[in-house]
Amino acid sequence: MAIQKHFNQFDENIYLSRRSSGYKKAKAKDESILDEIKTAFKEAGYPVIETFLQGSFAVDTAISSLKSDYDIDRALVIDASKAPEDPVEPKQVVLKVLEDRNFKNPKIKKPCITADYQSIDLHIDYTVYKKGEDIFGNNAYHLAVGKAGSDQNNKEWSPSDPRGLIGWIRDVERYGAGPLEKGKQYKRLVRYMKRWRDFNFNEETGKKLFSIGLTVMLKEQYKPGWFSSEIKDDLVALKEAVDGILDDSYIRAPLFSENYRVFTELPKKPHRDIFQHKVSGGESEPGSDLNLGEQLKNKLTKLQAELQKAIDQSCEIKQCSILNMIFGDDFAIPEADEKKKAASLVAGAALFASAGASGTSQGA
Amino acid sequence: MHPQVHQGPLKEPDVTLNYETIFQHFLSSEFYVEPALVNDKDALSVTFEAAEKLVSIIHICTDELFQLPQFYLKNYKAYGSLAHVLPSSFYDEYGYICVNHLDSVSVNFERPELAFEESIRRHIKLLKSQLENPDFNQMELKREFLTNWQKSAEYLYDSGSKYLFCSSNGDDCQKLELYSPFSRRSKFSIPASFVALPSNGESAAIAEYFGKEKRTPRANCLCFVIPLEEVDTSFPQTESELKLWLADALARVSESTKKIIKTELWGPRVKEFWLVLNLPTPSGKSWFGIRLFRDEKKPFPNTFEKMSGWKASLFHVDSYNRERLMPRSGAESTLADKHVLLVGCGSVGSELAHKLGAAGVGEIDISDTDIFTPSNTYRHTLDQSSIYQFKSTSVAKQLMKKYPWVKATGQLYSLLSLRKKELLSLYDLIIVAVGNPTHERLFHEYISESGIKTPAIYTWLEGYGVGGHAVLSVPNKSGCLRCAYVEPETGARGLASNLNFLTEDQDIVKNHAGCGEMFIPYGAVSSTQTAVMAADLGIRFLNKQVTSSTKVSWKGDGADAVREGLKFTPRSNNFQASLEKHPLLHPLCDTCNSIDGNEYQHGSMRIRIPSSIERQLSSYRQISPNMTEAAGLLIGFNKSSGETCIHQLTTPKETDTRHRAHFKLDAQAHQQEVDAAFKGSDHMLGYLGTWHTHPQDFPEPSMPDITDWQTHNKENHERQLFFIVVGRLKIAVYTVMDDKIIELKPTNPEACSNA
Repeated sequence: MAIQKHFNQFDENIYLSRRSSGYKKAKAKDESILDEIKTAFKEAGYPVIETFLQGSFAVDTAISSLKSDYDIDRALVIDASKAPEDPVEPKQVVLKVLEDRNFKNPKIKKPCITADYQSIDLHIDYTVYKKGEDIFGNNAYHLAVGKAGSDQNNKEWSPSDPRGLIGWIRDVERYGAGPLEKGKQYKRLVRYMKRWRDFNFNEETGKKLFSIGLTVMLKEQYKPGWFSSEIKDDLVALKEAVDGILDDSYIRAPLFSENYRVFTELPKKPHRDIFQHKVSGGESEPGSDLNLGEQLKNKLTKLQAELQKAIDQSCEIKQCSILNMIFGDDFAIPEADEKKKAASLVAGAALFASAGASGTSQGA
Repeated sequence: MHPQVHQGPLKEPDVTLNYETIFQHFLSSEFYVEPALVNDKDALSVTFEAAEKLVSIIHICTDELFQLPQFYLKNYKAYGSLAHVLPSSFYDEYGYICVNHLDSVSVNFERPELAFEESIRRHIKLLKSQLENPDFNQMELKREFLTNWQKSAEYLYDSGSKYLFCSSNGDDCQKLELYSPFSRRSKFSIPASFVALPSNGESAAIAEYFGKEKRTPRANCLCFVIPLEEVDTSFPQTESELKLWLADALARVSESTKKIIKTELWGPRVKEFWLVLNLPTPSGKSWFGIRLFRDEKKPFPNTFEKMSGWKASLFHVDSYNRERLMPRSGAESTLADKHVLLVGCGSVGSELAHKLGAAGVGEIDISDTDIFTPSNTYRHTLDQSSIYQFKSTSVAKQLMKKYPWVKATGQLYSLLSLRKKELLSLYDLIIVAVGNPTHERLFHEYISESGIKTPAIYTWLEGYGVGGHAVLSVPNKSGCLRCAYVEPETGARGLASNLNFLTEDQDIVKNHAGCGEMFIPYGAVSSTQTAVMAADLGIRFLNKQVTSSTKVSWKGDGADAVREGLKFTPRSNNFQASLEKHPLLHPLCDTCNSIDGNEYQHGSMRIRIPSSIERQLSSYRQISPNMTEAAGLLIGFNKSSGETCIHQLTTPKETDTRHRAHFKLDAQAHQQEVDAAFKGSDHMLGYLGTWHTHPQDFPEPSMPDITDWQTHNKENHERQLFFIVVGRLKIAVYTVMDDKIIELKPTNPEACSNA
């Protein structure tokens, strides 16, 4: 279990929350854009009734990127009864807000509106939903699908379950005993795999290995056992999850083909394939492109072997060296710096009390 | 003129709490912590398992940590009625969690992650115990009955929000007289509130306190205290539910209450019933009120059905009885039957009177001949409305206004004219704060000569903020006012107190306008400090925490006195015992110390063992074979005449090792007593040697004794040490000179025998 403390440190090094100092500017942008969108939607006659984070911030698996670029993934929800028939209309409103704010290259994509903000390397991704009730009286979300100029066949309010997806990822009750420790470990594994991706793929390919894809695969393959609340260390847990991914059929060559593609279905509506690739005519088909399929298969296999090597290694420093090769320098190799760090910690912390609070007899 | 009230936002410093470190901290902690958004606000969410469910609490991110981080319980309604969880006015599905009082902890804002961890631990502990232990939850619900009652029955309070001050005799079932408000100026004040007083008469002080003479009794109305036993903890929210609740609660009162209600409450026909209810909870009685009213006179509706013609509303009750209010505001009800005479009502006396009142002393008679003049303003409790009034009567009035149950009188006697045995004997304590040593000493002479048993405290301060003193002289106990006046050098009765920090005969008094306008310069801080110290001594005496004659001083910053060129006493230079209580007894006081006992001599060397000490030593004689050796240290002083005097002994401690023929002292425990005596006597008393017993009739020093004494002697070469060995028939006194053991012989040879 000695390796666990190095994983914990690694986790701390890569962890990103909306409250992290690096994310401060992105958060401010997010909030001010949101205010403007709210105003614009109100004026358009369909006020934002709900908004929530999507993506990694919604499930607490965000990591700091190696190039210090940041994402904003946000859902905008309007009342179904007030929603325009044309799903692209509210997306146009968002586009206008982004254009007016000098975003680089804002555009309406089929499921969302995206933009980049150059000065702080910010990627924005807004989705628009309308919310009504299904026949059972449950909340029902529909995603605004379609591009500017899409014909009637290519735009629709498409049934979707964004909250359900977040809930599915966050769910810990599926783990049986000791659900919270297992839930925490799952989140760590997702962060590790995302950093592994960023460190091992070139930018173009890595971009296509969507975080949601890794997140779903890991959710399905993380199997800590139901009855015991004990968990294995992160190294073994990760290795087992990688085994699971490789053993399962995510990466496969479709019938009559020798080329691999990555397949992962969204566990919630609309249940489409996450990695779907474009085919001629603007249509998409399930499975990633061949390049990603090939690369993922190779790199995962290599990861599996390296993790096994780390497991077999009894020397902590050598273990860390292997993991450093896998994840990069945020997975530190302990050596003389360990001492240096301890010294600086003492210098920094000794001034402060080590208790969080204490009851006092003081009063006036 | 009213002081200005400033309210409204002041600009707050720009601070932002660093949640990054907080979230990082919890990554590998025992808690499941993650960021969240609540109503678009950043939040910190904690999930934990309780009662086999996952429970989430959330904290809305703040900018600064000025209290323990606050958490809300998510979906709180799903858990039923939970104590310490209240609906929050900001977040609909989140319940405000009250983890004791978040202010009463000192928070580590420099390491906020630890403060969060502590807060999370406390919240989880509380919620877990409530969710997993329904009995505990029920008890806690009852404890906070009043808070919940007021919250949930909010709309049932009269629109004018009636307040009732209830001064019942205790909390038993009883009829009260209801009086209407006499002023509408301020809503939340006694004049604008109803008052209910005992129907069998109340004390004059209480009547005065509530302004009874300005009020009219409420007509056509019956007011009753009803102690409830068990009630429904699901609270009424409508008028009809309230009537049901009341009918149910009344059906469950005790038999004795029922009997009184039946005979006194059910008969009379009135238009209004004011029911003052109290309910026992784990943290005392909760008081609240229900009013039933209608337009015509009817008897009490004793069932839910009969209540249909009545309207019901709630009113606030502030229970104003002594048993409840005094402990809550820090007073001690045990002092309620104490009677104190305070002589002197100047800067020290007036503060003293207030502190005694605040402590809960029942009766205070204040005597002073003086009038309050403008020149007193800045060091007196009185204000401009009392100018040219007698200080004593004005302060007595002030006390009665402030403390509802104190009985205070003002009298115009001087200290000397109070020398009346019958009068002084009435009091539990006399406190003299006249600042006149001559009168104090004369007064003390009278007390001791006339055999008055009432103890007296004498308190005074010294100018220029150098300090203040208080001595408690308990008759028939060693230590008296004279002890505070003995001259340490000669043992003569002095005229200035030996407690003083400034030497006598200096020009300290300032004279601004001739003989009539003299004053000693000192600030109100000095007089208040002195008063607080003297009051503390008095209160502790009345509480029996201090039983013997005691002295206590505080020493201030002497800078002002130094600037004036004043000289300080040796006591002042050595003094490090501010506010510490020490025995008053002075070794040289001629009334407290008799000069009896035996003297032992060798050449010019003389040592006196007072008979009291001799008796004490004899009590340790090893008369029976099973008695073990006893030993201790000698504490005493050297007289200027050259004689050494033993003043006290340290006696065997439980931590000593004692056998038939040897012993070992717990050096530290004995040394502590020597140190205390040294400090308490202003460095007069010190270590003089040792004593121990021998199982012999006529003791002979043993070899170990001799070696031991020689060692002691070498270690204390600055003083002559003496060593006493207590045999069964003889007490022998030795000393060491030039490494030789010398026995001192009694000046009166018969003294050697204990027989």
